[in-house]
Amino acid sequence: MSHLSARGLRKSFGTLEVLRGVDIDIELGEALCIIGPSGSGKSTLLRCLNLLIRPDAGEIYLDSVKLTNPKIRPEWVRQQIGMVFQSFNLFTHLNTTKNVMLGLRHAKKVSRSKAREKAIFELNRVGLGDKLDAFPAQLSGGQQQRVAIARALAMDPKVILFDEPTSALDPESIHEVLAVMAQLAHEKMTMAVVTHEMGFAREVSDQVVFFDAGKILESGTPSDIFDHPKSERTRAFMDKILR
Amino acid sequence: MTEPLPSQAPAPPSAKRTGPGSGKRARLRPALRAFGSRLLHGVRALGPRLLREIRYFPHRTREALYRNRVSLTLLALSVSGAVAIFVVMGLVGIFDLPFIIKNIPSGLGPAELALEFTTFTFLVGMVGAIGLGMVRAHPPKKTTRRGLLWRWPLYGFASGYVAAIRGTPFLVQLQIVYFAVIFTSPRLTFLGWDANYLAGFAALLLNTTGYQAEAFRGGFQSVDAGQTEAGRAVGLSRLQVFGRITLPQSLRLVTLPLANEWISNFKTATILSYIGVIEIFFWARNDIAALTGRDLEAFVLLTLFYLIINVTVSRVITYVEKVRRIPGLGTPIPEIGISTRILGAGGAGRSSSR
Repeated sequence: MSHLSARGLRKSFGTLEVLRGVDIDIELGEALCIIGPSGSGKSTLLRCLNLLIRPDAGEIYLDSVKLTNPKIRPEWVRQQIGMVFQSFNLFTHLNTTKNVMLGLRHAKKVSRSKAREKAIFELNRVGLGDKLDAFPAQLSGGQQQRVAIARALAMDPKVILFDEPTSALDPESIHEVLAVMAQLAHEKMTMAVVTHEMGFAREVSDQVVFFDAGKILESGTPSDIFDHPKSERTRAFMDKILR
Repeated sequence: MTEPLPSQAPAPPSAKRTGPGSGKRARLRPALRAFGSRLLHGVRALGPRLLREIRYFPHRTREALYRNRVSLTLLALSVSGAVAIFVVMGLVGIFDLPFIIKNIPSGLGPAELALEFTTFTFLVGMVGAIGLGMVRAHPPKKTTRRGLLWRWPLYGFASGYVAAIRGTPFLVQLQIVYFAVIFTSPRLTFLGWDANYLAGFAALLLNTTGYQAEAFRGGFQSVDAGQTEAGRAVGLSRLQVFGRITLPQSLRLVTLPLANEWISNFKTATILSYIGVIEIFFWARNDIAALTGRDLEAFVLLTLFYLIINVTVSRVITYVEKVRRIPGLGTPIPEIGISTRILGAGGAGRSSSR
C-alpha cells in the first residue's frame, strides 16, 4: 500500500458534484503533480486529503492509517499532512517567526524555546534567515509564500500538499518558490502539488495526474503525460498549454 | 521600513477586561486612578515632545497645519463665534460666567458616578458581547449535523436579543427593567446602591451588551477566512483558531467601534436620570430647580462636562490606535509626527505603509 492513498472519493456541494470517485496513490518520497483545467475539483481533492473538507464517500489512507475513520482527530491528521495555500494565508498579526511557531506551540505543545529554534531553522532552510522579525505585510509575495512553506515544514509532516502555490505570484517570485519546492522534492519529501507550472511538473515530479471534471483521466510519469498523452481530452489540454 | 517603537501610550480600555466586574465601588477608584495617572503621564510627556518636535522639525508642524488648513480654519471660526456669542450675552446680562465656574466642583461627584456606570457596564458587557458575537458570526447552515441541534436555538436567542436591543429605544428598555425590579423587590440594596440604581445599571448593561455584540460580530467576520483555514491546516482546533488568530485580529479591528460604543454608552447613561439616578444630567437639572433662572448656564456647564470627557476619550483612542497599529491590519498609516497625529492627516495623508 502506498504512503498516501485515497479510494472512491466523492464530494458534492448541494447539487454540484465536484469529486466523482477519485482514486489516487502517492508513494513515500514521491512528488505528485496534479494538472488540469480550473474548476475541475483539484483544490477540493487536496482539501479532502487533509480533511479540511469531509468527503461524502470514500476512504483515505496514510501509511495504513484510515484517516476517514470518525474516531481520528482531524487536528492530528493535519499535523501529519501539511498544506500550502495559493493566497499564502499567513497570520497577519504575527511576525514571521511567530507564524511558523504557532502550530508547533499550540497544536504540538512544544516549548517556546524549542519552537523558536525549529522556526528559525525552517526559515533559514527556505532562505529567509534575515526576515525573522518582519510582519507578513512587509514581505513580497514570494517571501510570504516561502514563510508559508516554512510554516508547513516546521510541523515535520509526512506529506505536504501545495494548492497552486505560485498562481498568485509575479514571474520572478515564482522562480524562488519553485526552487524551494524543487529542493524539497530532491530531499525526498512526499508532496502533492496542484499547479499550472508545466515546466516544474515535467522536471521535478515523479508522477503526473491529469484531473478533469471530478475524475482522474490519466496518470503516469511526466514524459507519459506530456509527450504521449493517451486520452483525447488530455491531448487537447496539452495542445492548448504547451504551445 | 522600520517599525516605530510603541511609545508609552496608556492601554486602551479593552485591555482591562480582567478587572473587577462585580460593581464594587471601592475597587474602581484605584483602577481609575491608575489609568488616569498613566494617561496623565502620557499627556504630560506629550507637551515637551510636541515642543521638541516644533523646535527641531518645524516643517512637520507647518505641514500638519497646512494639510489641515480647512478644518482648522472652520474650527477656529466656530470656536471664536461661540465665544463671541457668549461674551456678548455676558455683557448684556443674559449669561453669567462666574456662576458656571463656581458650580463645577459640585458636578464632579455625579460625573464620577456616570463614568463608573459607563465603564463598568462597558467592561462587563464586553464579556457577554464577545459570546453573542461568536454565536452570531457563524450562523448554522442547513447541513449542520444532528448532534449540533442546539446551535439553532442558541443562534435564535442571540439574534433575537440583539434585534430587541437595537430595535427599541433605551428609555423603553429601562422602563421594563425598572418596573421588573421595583415590582419584585422594591427594597433591594446591594453594596449601598438602591433598587433604582441597580435597575439602571442592569438596563445599561443589557443595552451595551447588545450593541457591542454587533461590533464584535463584525470584527470576527472581517478576519480573513483563509487565515482560519490555514490555522486549521496547521493542526489547531476550532477554539484555538478562534483564540489565537480570530480574536487578536478582531480586537484591533474593533477598537474604534468599541470606543464609539463607550461614548454612546456614556450619553445613554443620561437617560438614567429618569429613574432618579444622580448622574450629571440629574445634577444639572436639579441645579436649576434649586437656583431657578439659570437654565442656560446650567446646561452649558453640562455640555462642557460631556465635551471634555468625550473628546478626551476620542483623542486618546485615536492616538492609541495609531501607536498600536500593525502593518497590514486595518488602515495602513504612514510614519507621522506628533503634530500630525494630533491634528490629523488631512486629505493627502492616506498612503500605504509599504
